[in-house]
Amino acid sequence: MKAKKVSFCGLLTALAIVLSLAERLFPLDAVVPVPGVKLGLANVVTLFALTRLSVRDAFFILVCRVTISSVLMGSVTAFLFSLLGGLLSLVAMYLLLRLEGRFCSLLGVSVAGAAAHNIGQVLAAIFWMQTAAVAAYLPFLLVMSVPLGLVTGLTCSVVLAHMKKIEFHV
Amino acid sequence: MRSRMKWGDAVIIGAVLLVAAALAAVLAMQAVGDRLYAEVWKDGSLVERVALEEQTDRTIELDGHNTVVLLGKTAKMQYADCRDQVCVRTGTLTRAGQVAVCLPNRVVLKITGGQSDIDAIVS
Repeated sequence: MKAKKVSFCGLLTALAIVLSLAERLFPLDAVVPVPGVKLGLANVVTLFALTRLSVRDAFFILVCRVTISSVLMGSVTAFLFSLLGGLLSLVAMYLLLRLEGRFCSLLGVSVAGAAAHNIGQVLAAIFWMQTAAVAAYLPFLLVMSVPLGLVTGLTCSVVLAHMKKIEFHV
Repeated sequence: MRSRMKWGDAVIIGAVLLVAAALAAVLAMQAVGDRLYAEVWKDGSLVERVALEEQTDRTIELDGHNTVVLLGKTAKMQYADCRDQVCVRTGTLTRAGQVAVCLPNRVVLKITGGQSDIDAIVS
């Protein structure tokens, strides 16, 4: 049972890395005039791990994903940004998931996660650049996190429905 | 399906948009004034502050890593040697409050508003 869980976590980590690599092939900021905006498909994996595994597993998958994709894409700054964004997103989604079903749906959880991710990234950027000027991007990023969060939340909910159908248990 | 929306979702989305609007309002309030200045920041310190006039035509080179072009009342990051090119794709800045950020090189190009002199505040 333990081996199955470990391998499943590895699988999810690999999936998250591939998703963030694939996402770079379609730079969303070429279409939407907000620099640096991303779809955040890897967040689907975090949300999925939070719902089907535990917050601990989701945390380890996140840290592995961020570390490995930073090495692959060769950027030191990207590591800091993704990590802080990812962690804030994880915390926000973990807290809201407790209210899911009564207060909100998976979509709301996902939107909050996307917004938290952007706030984390901008905080990391302010720290890195030593100037608050970077915060000028945040309003645009937050507005974009609504449709993008809805898309990732919907994706996760579709995946969960399918997993239920094939009776997959970890 | 766990995507059936509930009232809380509207609260969450509303809260995110409210924070975005509040932040945008705060940033817009800082950008008042009858003059425009282009500021170039590197590693958290101000490198250049140039008043933007109709006849402004300047190119600022930052150690060959970034090139800023100030033309008339606009500013843009012409070139950056990083791989993400986010700052270059930001395009031309024309209004106070706009920024182009190059994260890998820690360079910020920013347009700020400002009063030309004390008289402007009085009037």
